[in-house]
Amino acid sequence: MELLSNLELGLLTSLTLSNLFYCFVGALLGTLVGVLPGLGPATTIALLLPITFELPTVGALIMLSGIYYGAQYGGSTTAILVNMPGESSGIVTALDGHQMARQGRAGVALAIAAIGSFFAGTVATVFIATLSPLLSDFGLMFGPAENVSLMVLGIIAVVVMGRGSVLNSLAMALVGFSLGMVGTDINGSQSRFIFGIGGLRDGINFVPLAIGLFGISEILHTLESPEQRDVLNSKITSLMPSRADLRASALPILRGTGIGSLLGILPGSGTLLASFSAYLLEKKLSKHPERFGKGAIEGLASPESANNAAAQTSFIPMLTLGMPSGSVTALMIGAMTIHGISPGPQLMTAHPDLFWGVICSMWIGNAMLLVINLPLIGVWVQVLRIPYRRLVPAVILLCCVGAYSVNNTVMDVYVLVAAGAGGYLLSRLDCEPTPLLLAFILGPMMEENLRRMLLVSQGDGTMLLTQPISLALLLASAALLALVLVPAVRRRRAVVFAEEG
Amino acid sequence: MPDDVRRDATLAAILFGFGAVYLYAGSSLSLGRPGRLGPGFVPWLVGCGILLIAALITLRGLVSWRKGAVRETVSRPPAAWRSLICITGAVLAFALLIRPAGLLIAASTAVLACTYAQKHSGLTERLLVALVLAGLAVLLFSVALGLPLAIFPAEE
Repeated sequence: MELLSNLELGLLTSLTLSNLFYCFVGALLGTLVGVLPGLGPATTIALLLPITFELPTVGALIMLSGIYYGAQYGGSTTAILVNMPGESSGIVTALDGHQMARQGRAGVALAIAAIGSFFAGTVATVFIATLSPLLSDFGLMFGPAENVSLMVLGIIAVVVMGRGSVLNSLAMALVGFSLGMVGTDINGSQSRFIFGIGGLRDGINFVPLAIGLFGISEILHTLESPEQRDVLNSKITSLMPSRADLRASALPILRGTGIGSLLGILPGSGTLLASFSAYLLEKKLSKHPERFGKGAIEGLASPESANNAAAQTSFIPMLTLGMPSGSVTALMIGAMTIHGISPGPQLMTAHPDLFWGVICSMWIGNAMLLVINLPLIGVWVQVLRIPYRRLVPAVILLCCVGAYSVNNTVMDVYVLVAAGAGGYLLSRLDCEPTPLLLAFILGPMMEENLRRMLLVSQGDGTMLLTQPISLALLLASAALLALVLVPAVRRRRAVVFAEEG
Repeated sequence: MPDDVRRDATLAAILFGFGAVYLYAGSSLSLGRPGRLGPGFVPWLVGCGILLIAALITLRGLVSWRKGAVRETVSRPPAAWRSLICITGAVLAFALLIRPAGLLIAASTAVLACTYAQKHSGLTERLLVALVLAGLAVLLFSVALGLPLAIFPAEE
């Protein structure tokens, strides 16, 4: 069994003492930052990216994945306890989770969320381990033309499936491309768009850009509305769900896991679509749909599982094809590139320990979350009470030191400030940062592949359309774009994203 | 002018400006020929794309203005200008101070500026937050993590 030997390699890698430690620290820090109201997983990862640079590559990625699950889980904790979700998919969690908390069942809600997430994480890990080799083999058939088309599809998918206006997101993607072109040209030694600034010769650094877009800009966004939090004051007493609770949530967890695992693979879909679909399905299947929104345990169990399953299976396109499906995976790809690893179909054969180690650490990380988080809930509740006037300066300071310490250059801090202020102003104009960051990362790779393709085909650009796989990918992108114009889909998009408002 | 039209107009103006500067700055780069693209080709494509999207956004704004229909009715909170200025100032202060003055001074200045992002704090509390956070930063980053950050001003 190849799968078993692969998993064995993965377990051997992820169970070393140092990697277990990185996984633990990642999960813990991720939860700590993720619990902070208003900070979602992408923000958390961006903020904590700098601390992973000193680590060995495998350790760094294991820690980043740990941060991601931790942040996800921390977000659910916040959603349940304060009805103030830090990330979009947390909104669905808050619908019934917070109601349960209001009815004095906060402990049960948190436990069910943890159990559902753990189960979903386990299934998703197996899912990733079986599906990845297949996709990876498929990816090895890709030449430069297919790569270009795949990246086009990746960006279009994020634009269409993401929230906000499609036109605005396209504009952001193009701005991201243009920023990615800054610096020395790949083929030659010619500098582009550096405006005589020496610090830009190596291009705009990805870390301060990400921290600015997701850290500072998010903080500013949070500061728009006056601070109001009703953290539950009553002590959380019983954590253990009753037998009836477990029975009521068993099937929803199963269904949520299924939906989440499948939807997570789709490029661009992210976790919001998964948890929202899972919620709607439960409501439809329920004999008492009127209970939803009033503390129905199914309405918490299913989307929480879907959310976590999707969070993990969204790693599949990233690990096998090198295609990020959203802001989180884009940040992971950026981190890999900094460690000198180019994600793509060759990753599995070139770095099997990294590939399988990261996959197995996902499962271990989930198990750790279950163990560390339930006893630590009291601590998270305290963290939730930190007022903004203390929290904001601390986060901004973390952003500054983080951006500066990556290369010890002041230029990076200027990039941080520009990205933060610019990102905030653009978000006021209904522009999302995710397409920008994605295109910033993919842009240089796309240009390189485009050049290679044109070199091979002696300047024949139609190769994009004559190669069958490439054509299929481009047709899929066109179909996605066309889909937005269909009135029914437009309305549906409006409904899904209006929930966030 | 309704809010969403104003936003479209602002965004289109920004994009037109950005695209034009980008195309101009890239105009000295060679486009190359199909078999061997020059460094200027992809930027040229991107610049044109930005202008095209800017035009489409303008068009969208004009259409919704003429219709007079507002796309959304949800009122949103006003922009956090005060926070934007304070936080931008804080990060800039950090950038300017970190090399000459070291982490302790840079961090406390930045934190102090940040505390002004919100009202409702006394000066004592602001100073206290600044000193405590700067101290924590020194302990965490310089001492515990061992980052190569000078704590005190560099000696001339």
